[in-house]
Amino acid sequence: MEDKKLKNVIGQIKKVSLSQDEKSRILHNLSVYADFHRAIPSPSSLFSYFKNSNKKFAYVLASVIILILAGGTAVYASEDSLPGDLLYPIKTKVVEPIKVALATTPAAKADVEASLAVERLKEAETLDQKGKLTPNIKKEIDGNLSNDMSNFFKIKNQMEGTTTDSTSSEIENTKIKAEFENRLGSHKEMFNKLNHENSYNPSQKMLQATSTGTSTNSYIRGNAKNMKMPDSRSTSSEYIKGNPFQNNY
Amino acid sequence: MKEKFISLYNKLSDSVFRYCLFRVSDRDAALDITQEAFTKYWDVLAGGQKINNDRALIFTIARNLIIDYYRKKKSVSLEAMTETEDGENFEDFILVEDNKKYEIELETEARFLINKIIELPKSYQQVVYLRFVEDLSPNEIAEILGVSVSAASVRIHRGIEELKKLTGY
Repeated sequence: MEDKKLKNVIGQIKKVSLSQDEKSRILHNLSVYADFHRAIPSPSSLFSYFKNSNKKFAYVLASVIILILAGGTAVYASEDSLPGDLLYPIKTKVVEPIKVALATTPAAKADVEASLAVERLKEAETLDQKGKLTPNIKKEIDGNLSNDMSNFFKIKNQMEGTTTDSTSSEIENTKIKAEFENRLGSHKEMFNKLNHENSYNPSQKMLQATSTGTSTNSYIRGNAKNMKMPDSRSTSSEYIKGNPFQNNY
Repeated sequence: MKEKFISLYNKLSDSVFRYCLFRVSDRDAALDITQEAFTKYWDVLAGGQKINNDRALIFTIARNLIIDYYRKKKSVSLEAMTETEDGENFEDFILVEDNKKYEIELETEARFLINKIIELPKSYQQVVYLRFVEDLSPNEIAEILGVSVSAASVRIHRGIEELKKLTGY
C-alpha cells in the first residue's frame, strides 16, 4: 500500500509541469532554431568518423584505405624485384609507367626512359651474378630494354624537332645515340653481353633502325667507320659486327 | 533528425522543466533554462556526435545551465552560498530558497514529500529527487552529477533510507 501511496504522491509532484502554452511556445522556438542550425558535420577526427557514421560506408572506406596502403607496400617491395619475381610485373607495368607519366617535360621523360633502360641492364647484371640469366629471361629483358630505348629515341627525336621518318639531321641522331651510350655507362658490358649471346636482340636492332622500321641510315651513318650498312633484314652476325660500342672500345 | 528531436522534447520537456523549477524556484528562469537546454541538445545532435543516453545528456546540460545561473546570480542569499557539511557544491540543493518554495503549486501530500526531501542532507537531495520523481537510473544520475556510479548508488540508497525515516513511506 505504501508503494501505491508513494506512486500517488509522486504523481502529484509530476503535475508540476509546463502549461500547454509554454510547451508549444518553447517548441516553436526550438523548431526555428533547428531549421536555422541544420546538421553540421563535426570537425572530428578520422577515428570518430568511423565510430559515428554509417557503418557500411565506413567499412568500404576502410577497405579502400587498406588496399591503397597494401598497394603502396607492394610498390615499395617491387622496387628491387627482378624478372621472374612475383612483383616484377608491378614494377614494369605499374610503377615505371607512372614514373614516366610523372615526368612532365620531354627532357625529363627521356631521362626516365634512359634510367629504365639502365635498370633493365642492372637487373640483367644481378641475375647474371646469381647465375639466373637464362635465355628466356634475357629475351624478356632485351624486349623491355628495346622498348625503353625506342621510347627514349622517340622522345629525343621529338625534342630535336625531327621525326623518325625524317632523314635529316643525322648529326642529331648521332648525338642522341651517343647520349644514350653515355647513360649506359658501366652497364655497357651487360648491353654487349645481351647482344652477343642473344641471336634475336631487338635492342641492338634499335640502334640500327627506328621502331617504325623506316630510314635506318641516319642512325648508321654516324658510325660508318667500322660498320657495314645493314638493312632491317640483316643477319645477327652483321649486327654483332656492327655494334656501335665497338667503336669506343 | 528533427523529428527525433521533437519527439524527445515531447517526452522530456516536462521532466526537465520540473527539475529546473525546483532547482531555481523561478518560473521564468526555469522556462529559459529548459529552452536553452534543448537548444544545446540540438547542437550536439546536429553536430553528429553519438549520444549514448538522451535523458542523461539533457539533464546534464540542464544542471550545468543551472550552475551558470547561480554563478551569475551573485546576489543570492547567504543560505544558498554556504557549502554543505559534505563539502558539496551549493548547486546541489534541490530547493535553494525556502521562502520561495511555496510559489510552486503542489497538492498537500506532494508538498509534504518535497519538504521532506529538502530536509535530507544536501548531498542526498538531488539523487533522491532524480531517482524517485524523475525515475532516472543510477547510471544516468551518476553521469548527470559527474560522480562515479558506485558513489551515486550509495547516495541513492542512503538517501532513500533517510527519506523513509522522515516520511514513513
